[in-house]
Amino acid sequence: MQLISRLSKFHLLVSAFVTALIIFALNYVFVIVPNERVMGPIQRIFYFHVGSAIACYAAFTVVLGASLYYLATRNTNADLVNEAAGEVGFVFCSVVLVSGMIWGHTAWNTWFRFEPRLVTFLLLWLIFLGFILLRFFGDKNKVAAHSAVLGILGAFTVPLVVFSIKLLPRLAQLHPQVIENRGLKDPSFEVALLVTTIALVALQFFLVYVRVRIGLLERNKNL
Amino acid sequence: MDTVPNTFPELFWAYTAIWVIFGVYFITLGRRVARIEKLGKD
Repeated sequence: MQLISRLSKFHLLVSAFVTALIIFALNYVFVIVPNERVMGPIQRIFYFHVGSAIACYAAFTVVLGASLYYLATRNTNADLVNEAAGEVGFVFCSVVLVSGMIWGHTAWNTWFRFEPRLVTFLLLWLIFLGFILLRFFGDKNKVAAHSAVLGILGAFTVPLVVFSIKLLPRLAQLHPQVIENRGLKDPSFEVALLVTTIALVALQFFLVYVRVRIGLLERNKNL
Repeated sequence: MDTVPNTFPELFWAYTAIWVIFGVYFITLGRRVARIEKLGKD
């Protein structure tokens, strides 16, 4: 409670704003958007699934920037940002993976298939799982540099995930290409996707900020 | 007339999984904060 009492009005306003964005997005997803004709209600997972993927890519872009800056300057604050963004990105990556598996099981009767988008995304998740484990178990003197290198490797996996659908013929693809094929027929689908993506990206940046502050406090207490 | 399939249970489980993942992370952050505050009091 002492930490919360020290939060400025600005921080409380930001957290209230992010919460309001999430609630607004949920309202769009569950109340305003109509049922999709083929898949029914399960299609509504699309908005959080895609929004979380974009938030995850945004977090790993922060990891890339912080990692490069750390390796160039050995600035410990950059290492803090790297750790925070990697952790938050991993959380959103897990959301995408789990929601995708449940949706996939409903739509395709399979939890996972070895096709380009799914495999490259699993690779991304595994790299950042390694990133998290490295921070826990790595050599304290070298963990910052090692995780910066791993963070750069993970961040360069993101374009591989995004463009994986172009690497192999369409017949080898299972993952739908809804946005590229302009599959959002109802305008409210597009608005719901935009609103949810903005809400989740805002949440991601806010969580990175909170995690960096916690890291700074831990460093001050020599934890 | 085509009927929309009832996939509400799967939707429920998908969103439950999402909130559980976020919830676990928020609890982890909360525990880190509690540890900092406990050390601050000591």
